Amino acid sequence: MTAPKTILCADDSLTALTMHQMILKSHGYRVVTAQDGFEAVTKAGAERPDLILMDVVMPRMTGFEAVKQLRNDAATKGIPVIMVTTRAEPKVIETCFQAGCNDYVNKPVDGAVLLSKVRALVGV
Amino acid sequence: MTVQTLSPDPIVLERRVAVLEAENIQLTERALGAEQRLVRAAQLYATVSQLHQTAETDEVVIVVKEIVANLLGCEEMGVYDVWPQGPVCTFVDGIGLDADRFGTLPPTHALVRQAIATGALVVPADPAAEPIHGRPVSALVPLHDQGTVCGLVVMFQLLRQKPKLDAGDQDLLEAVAAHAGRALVHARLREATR
Repeated sequence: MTAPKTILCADDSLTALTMHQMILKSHGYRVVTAQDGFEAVTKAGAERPDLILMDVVMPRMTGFEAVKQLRNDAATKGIPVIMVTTRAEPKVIETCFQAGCNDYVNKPVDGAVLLSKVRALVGV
Repeated sequence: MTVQTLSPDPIVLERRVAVLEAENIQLTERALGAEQRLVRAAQLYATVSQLHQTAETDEVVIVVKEIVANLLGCEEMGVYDVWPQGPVCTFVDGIGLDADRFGTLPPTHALVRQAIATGALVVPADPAAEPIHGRPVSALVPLHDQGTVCGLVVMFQLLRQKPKLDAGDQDLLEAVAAHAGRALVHARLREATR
């Protein structure tokens, strides 16, 4: 039996974190959480998750800055990141990819879309 | 070693394939339905659990803002205190609104009156039909406890990728209305007894 895949969820909203955790855990993923970009970078280094779900607007360090830091660190640069964005405009999406994310989901997060993107990047 | 060759009737095989395809579609739809129900349950759980962890009125307001913004996709909203004498609605906090312009709600506005009088969720079919302070209204959510409306959440502009509130969103708003109302009343009582 293989160990469950670990997903790091970073969001300053406890409501959003609770919801993402519940959806992902119910599909067999192990979830660790962070409430700002700085904590996300620290936990990514310590936990080496299989995937990171990263909100854009967070205190201390934004999601964009956090992804840039992750990409500059040999230990974390290969971890896939899904950005969670409020804005759906092409320019914002472009910024997500320029920062180094692998995919994105828009708020409000559609659970089925989130799960399909997670599966595409890390498997079930 | 003998090799057994099958030579089934193509018509029978085609029918069997059609039946299996139909079963496959049904199972996929059921799986998607189950996934959607799980997401709704997760939203409700997140909403109720966060509201029940609040102790202060400003904590209740923050959680309400988070729910409306993150789970329902609203980018312009206000939380109002409702004072029974009048009734007068005064702005407490919000997202994307000018606090001066949206400081109070017009008490004679039909949607505001309806929400406070009935204590029921109001979701206008056409948000632009009866604007408040010039902004289209997506929903009015009266926060209530034991039949008394103690607050009102007014949702104005939704995010571009969120064209309207669906039935599941409205179920979630009903939960917000009841649990946030109760949390608000309890927080006010706690603060008053200090």
